[in-house]
Amino acid sequence: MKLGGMWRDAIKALVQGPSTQKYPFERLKTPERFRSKLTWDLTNCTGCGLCMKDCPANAIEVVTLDRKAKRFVFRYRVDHCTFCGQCVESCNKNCLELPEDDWELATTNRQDFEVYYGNEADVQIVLDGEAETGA
Amino acid sequence: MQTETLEVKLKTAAKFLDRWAVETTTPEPERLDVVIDATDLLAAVAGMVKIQWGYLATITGIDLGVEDGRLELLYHFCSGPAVVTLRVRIPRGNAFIPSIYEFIPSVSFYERELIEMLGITIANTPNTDRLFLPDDWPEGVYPLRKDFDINEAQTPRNRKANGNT
Amino acid sequence: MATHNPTQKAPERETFKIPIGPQHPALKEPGHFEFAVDGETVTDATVRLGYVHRGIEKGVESRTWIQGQYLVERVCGICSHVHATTYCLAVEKLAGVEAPPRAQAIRSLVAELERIHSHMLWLGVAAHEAGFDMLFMYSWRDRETVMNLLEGITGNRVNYSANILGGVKCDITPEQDAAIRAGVDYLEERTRHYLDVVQNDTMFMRRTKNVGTMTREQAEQMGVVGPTARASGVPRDIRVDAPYAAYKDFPVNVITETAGDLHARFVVRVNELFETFRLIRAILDHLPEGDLQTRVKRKIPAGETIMRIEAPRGELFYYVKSAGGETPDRVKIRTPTLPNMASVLELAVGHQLADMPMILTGIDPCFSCNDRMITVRDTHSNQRDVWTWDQLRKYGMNAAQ
Repeated sequence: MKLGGMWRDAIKALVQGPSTQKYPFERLKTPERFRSKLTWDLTNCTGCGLCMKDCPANAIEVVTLDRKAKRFVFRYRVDHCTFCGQCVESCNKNCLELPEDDWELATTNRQDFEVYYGNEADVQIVLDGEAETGA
Repeated sequence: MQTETLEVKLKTAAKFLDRWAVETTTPEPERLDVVIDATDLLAAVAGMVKIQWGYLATITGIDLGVEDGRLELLYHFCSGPAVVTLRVRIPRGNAFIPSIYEFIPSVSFYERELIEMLGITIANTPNTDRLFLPDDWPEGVYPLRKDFDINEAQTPRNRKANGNT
Repeated sequence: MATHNPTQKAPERETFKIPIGPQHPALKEPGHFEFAVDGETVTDATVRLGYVHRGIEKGVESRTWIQGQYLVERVCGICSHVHATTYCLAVEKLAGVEAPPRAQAIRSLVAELERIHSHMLWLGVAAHEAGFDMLFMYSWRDRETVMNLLEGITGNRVNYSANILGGVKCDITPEQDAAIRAGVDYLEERTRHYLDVVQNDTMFMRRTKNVGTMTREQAEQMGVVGPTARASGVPRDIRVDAPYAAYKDFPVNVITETAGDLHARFVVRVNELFETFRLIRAILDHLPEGDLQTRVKRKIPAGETIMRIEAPRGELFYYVKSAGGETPDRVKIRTPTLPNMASVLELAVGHQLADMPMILTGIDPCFSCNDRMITVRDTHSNQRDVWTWDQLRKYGMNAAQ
């Protein structure tokens, strides 16, 4: 019987206390490279659409209202996203980021999964346009 | 076999397969591609098994396209670093190939995949039943062919699921 | 059936068939097994898989080269990194570029960490099947160490997506270097204990010695791969036979056993862990400096290539063909479980029914990997494929999606 070592482990574990967190009250710190909800920054975006093209899950759509005036709206489907990080790598202007701490994404409303980034007025135009076409 | 070098292995295979070879190429240093006629396939495979050159890794089926009008079957044999591929080209319209089941029994599922995915008729293979595709998949629609149209494959169940009746 | 049809003749000798699965057939993955038994002894075995077929090979054809990587990464949850690595190496070969040495080393490093994760997971599952739940729980607890390391390096516990065409996304920082070394030291100490248990525990030996023995000739003839082959004395390891990524610079010693039974498969895998620990330290000691990525064009020149790499379960085979466009023309995947699965059925006959889960887990089967194919076999008679389509359909076959 070679269980001696295991019994020692078992007794150690008994006095050690739980290794789980009391979640809503205590939040586990995620590693720095953990990928959660994508963020987009308009400042440097050229509207090239590489992020949209490379996304394996079709989670990204860049709507161009006026390329010259840099009026872009970034539509992001959180429920489609697989958090692979390809868009961040594809972006030449570093507009995209997958921060490590925004991972509490559960919701009871499907609409919450559709996230729009961009100028507020422009987002409204895109939303209105969709309401008209019924998309 | 283990001590033989890559060159020796490839040379042995090249020499052995030479009698059936239509064309022999070395696309990469560790590979040997031998194009053979479909009628020589059985003899070539039986020979490879007999001289115990490696093991059959898999059979790849490719559609070369409508314009080309041919399907290509690749029988990959692996031994250490060396990969020998027997390439057989058959016409798209009359896709027919004999089964190599009698020499390598584990090919049954590879051959069944070829039957339903590329529409190849395989003679003397023990089972020609469908493997992957659903029960109500239409006859004569082969998903790995290049002219495959997803709309043709609209099965009643799919249509219902997609809401377009 | 016979009782409903009085006109049907009774079979000459009645056999009792025991169906296992498709839900939870010993492993927590779907597969259906049927064992014909004579008393407690198995006389016949058939298997049907295909419950998790997703049409990935066709799916890749309609995606770009970049998107394809993330799809093939999802062929298997446990060995996702090797799938992505094989795909990336194949595409890079076609594109005529080579990832920088540091990227190749990190690829190998993550692959080896993944091997630890896979082997420890397997050790736990196999111990569980043997009724040794204490070993199961401890090996899975220790597996958390390597899972945390992988999460720290790549950002994810599974489906790491460490690869990108032309290199890797993640670098190894000095802190991570230290964390990996500390984790590997701890795991090495634990693995020594597990080796002691596997080699010396009387109960465990009785469950595994002389069970499911496969001779070297059988192994070579059936074309089995990976640790299953190495346990039968076949020194088949792609990392040695055809080194890829950074294995040219960090040579691997092949671990083999000669017994070929279930016990040998345990010993081979546990001993492979030590080799993996050594390799990880070697890679960290000599991690090349330099870039992490090279540029790969969006259009891959026309051509075709074959890439084989050693997954934790054995040889993984990819055939990739490009027609010169932005999407692959054909990607063919042959996973290691496929040739190994055939051996299980060959070995099952003549064993006790109670040994079946152990023999099955002995090859470390991965149904998700396997299920781009369905195998229906009958090993007892010469007839290999015994189920008709109608019979399959009866069992709620839904292989396409």
